[in-house]
Amino acid sequence: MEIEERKLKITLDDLLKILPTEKRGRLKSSEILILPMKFEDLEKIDEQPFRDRVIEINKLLRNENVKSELFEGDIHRPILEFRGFDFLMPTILFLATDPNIRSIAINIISQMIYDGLKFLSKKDKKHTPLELEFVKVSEDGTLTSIKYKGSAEDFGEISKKLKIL
Amino acid sequence: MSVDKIGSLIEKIQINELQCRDNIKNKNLNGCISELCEKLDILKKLKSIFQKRNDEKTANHLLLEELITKGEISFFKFGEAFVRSKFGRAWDEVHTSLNNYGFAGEVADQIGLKSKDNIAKFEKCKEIIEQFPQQWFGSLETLIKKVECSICGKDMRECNHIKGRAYNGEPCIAIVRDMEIIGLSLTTNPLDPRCRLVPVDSDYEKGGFIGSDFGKEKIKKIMKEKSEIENLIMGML
Repeated sequence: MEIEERKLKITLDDLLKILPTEKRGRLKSSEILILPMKFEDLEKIDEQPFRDRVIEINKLLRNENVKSELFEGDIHRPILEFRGFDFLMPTILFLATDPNIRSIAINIISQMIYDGLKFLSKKDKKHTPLELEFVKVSEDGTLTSIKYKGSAEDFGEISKKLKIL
Repeated sequence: MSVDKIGSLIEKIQINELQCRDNIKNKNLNGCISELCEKLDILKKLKSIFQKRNDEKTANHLLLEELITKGEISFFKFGEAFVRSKFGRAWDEVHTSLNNYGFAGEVADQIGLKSKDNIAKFEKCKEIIEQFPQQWFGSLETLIKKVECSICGKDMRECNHIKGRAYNGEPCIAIVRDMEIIGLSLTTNPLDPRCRLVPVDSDYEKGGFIGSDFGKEKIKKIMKEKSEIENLIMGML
């Protein structure tokens, strides 16, 4: 169980510049942006798919009145789906500084993991990996990544720490 | 549709349940399966009446009953395959049963019901699954390009329906309309454990337990516990 925190080389502006102008404004005013895989490689970001569960997470956030958007232009990005039980969650960028928004997102992910894990035996639960990345924005637009890589079963414990980071 | 029609369908279900119990007493698994399949048909007819009335609450309750019945059918099929030593088929059926009970649990949560009986059945399926030796599974890696919502037919990104939830008695399913297969992985922890891999020369129905603790000894151990599992199957309803 490990949480890795690091400053990213790209800024929020660098990311938003990738999008068509008309979409940029809408996405900038949202509270959460769901990012594609390998989003830091700006040159190839257009080719990157989303990770699985992206549509559900976006809808569940919106159901909680969170302004959530998928980071994509006019053409839908494909979604990379592994038919394995690993929880490879999409990267969530918090544009809003409101801690409640972070809490809602973490609770949605926790519930999703709980619902999935209940299908597994005790033995399999222990070996089910989870990868999760949150990105937070500082006032100057710099980005910090908070990454969790470990057992999905331990996420309940780790989620409390993530809420205060 | 008249109240009489609904009453007669409910009466049919009750008769069906009594006949199913008789079959359990006589350890007639196939009899149970056919009674439950009949019950499933009646439940679907009953559900369609309430769906037409847009009575979402009752339709969702009936979906819950439908899922539990599907879980029971698969469980008896598991039992039937198991006693014939068709362990591969038994594995598939117990997972189908687990999935149905699991989804029933989610529908029960959604409509605010606590079904202890259903949870117990779900946990029993997991106990049985743990008795099987390790296996390997195939797991596809796909790029999903277009997904359609089974409830409204729109692109899954454009509607408000959430995958896995019940809407007017129907589960919301994401129907993939365009995809590209980019790889196949071997895994011990697949999303669908029915995608099991068996050696070319083995019987798919019997299964090929090719994982780390594969061995005839393990199968023998399961067979010793067979009577216990048979009692468990019979005690399920």
